[in-house]
Amino acid sequence: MNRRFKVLIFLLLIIGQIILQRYVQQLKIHLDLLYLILVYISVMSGFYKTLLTASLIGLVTDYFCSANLMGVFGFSRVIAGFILNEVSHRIDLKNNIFVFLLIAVSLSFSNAIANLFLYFIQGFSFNLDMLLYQPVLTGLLGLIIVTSSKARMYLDVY
Amino acid sequence: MKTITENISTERKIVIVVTVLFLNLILVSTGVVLQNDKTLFQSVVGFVVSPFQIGFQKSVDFISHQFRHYLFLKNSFERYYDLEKKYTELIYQNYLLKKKIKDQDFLDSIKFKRTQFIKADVISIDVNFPLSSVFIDKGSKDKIKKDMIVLNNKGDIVGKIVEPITFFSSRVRLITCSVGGIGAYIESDKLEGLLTGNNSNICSFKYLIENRMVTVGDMVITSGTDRIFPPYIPIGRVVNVEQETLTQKIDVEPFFLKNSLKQLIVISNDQAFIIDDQPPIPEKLPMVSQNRTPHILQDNNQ
Repeated sequence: MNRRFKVLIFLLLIIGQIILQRYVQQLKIHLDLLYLILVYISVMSGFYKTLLTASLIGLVTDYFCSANLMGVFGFSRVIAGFILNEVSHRIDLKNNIFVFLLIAVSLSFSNAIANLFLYFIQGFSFNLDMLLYQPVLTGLLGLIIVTSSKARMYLDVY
Repeated sequence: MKTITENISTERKIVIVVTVLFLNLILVSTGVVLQNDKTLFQSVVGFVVSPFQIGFQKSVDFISHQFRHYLFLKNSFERYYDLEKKYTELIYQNYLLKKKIKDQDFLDSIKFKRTQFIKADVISIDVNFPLSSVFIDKGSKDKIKKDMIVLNNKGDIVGKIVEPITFFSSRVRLITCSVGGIGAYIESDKLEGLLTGNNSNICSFKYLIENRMVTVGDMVITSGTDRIFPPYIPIGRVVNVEQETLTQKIDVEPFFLKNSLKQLIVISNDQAFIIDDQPPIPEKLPMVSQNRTPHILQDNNQ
């Protein structure tokens, strides 16, 4: 049941990301739902699984969001995955504030690295949506998912 | 939270992470240093991901289509009547524009080799930089090629096709993207320059000399000198003019931003237009500002 619920949540996140990428202009919501999958796997799984997931999610993000420059988000998501994997053992994730901060700060950091690459290579300016708005919204959504009682039970959190 | 700890030494972890990061840097460098805009990774990721995305998009479109056509039939006759009326008006406008162009001997200098327009649906917009690029559901199977120009359903210029072009999908770089540029005229005084984007809803003319006055509201159209975009397609309107030393900075708001990016038109020719060696600047440009529908969409048979 837990496994089925996890797969369902992951599928919903992937479908949600597809919808967002199609309707981002109308919805004006900047979320990175794939990053929530990375956060969950980084926190709950081991080193190799984290690295593999981070690389895959990075490559997919690269394909859709890095102005034709493969490897930028691959690089930044691997760093984020590694940090999440290391840090999550050391902080109290029963505290909702820390869950939110973990998601928001790590996503902001990861996006900042990607943005830095895009700034120097493609001349893209620093994007406040990417550095602030998206991490905060994604962090809030992650917090809502994790703190809902069913998810808490089925996702093995707490 | 329950977490899994593995018995891997910190040194080993760091070595593995650095190796993966290094591989990513190599991937970046193939795009930058080697100017390889079609990497194997891109093709593989595109080939795997885009069918799912297109499939999902088509399902959503199918459901909404059914709703629109079978549940919301109310007032359909009135809408049909309005469309018929608009269609008749457009035919008349088309006739007038063709006449106007012929009167100016304008077609002699531009020989269009139009074959067909490919209708494409947008399947994905760059979430981080929404005004940088979009993906469409037409790829190499629909004979989409690099540098084909893309218009929206109102005939305003949107961008051009760039790599990656996979079997099922391709990327459109928008004119608002900070990469690249587009040759453009200020319609009123034929002042020409390079219009570049900066991932925002405003494009800017760079290095435009200040000896000619440009006013806010002037129409901006393609010049054709970049040899990618055909001339005289509407781009946008001037929204700001700033005088600088010797030059002036002109901000332009593109027309395509006024409509949501859903359906696009790709001009499918290998060579969308042929233009003489020196692009002619006619004494009188066709005033597309009166009727923003570009003539290349209208006189398809000439």
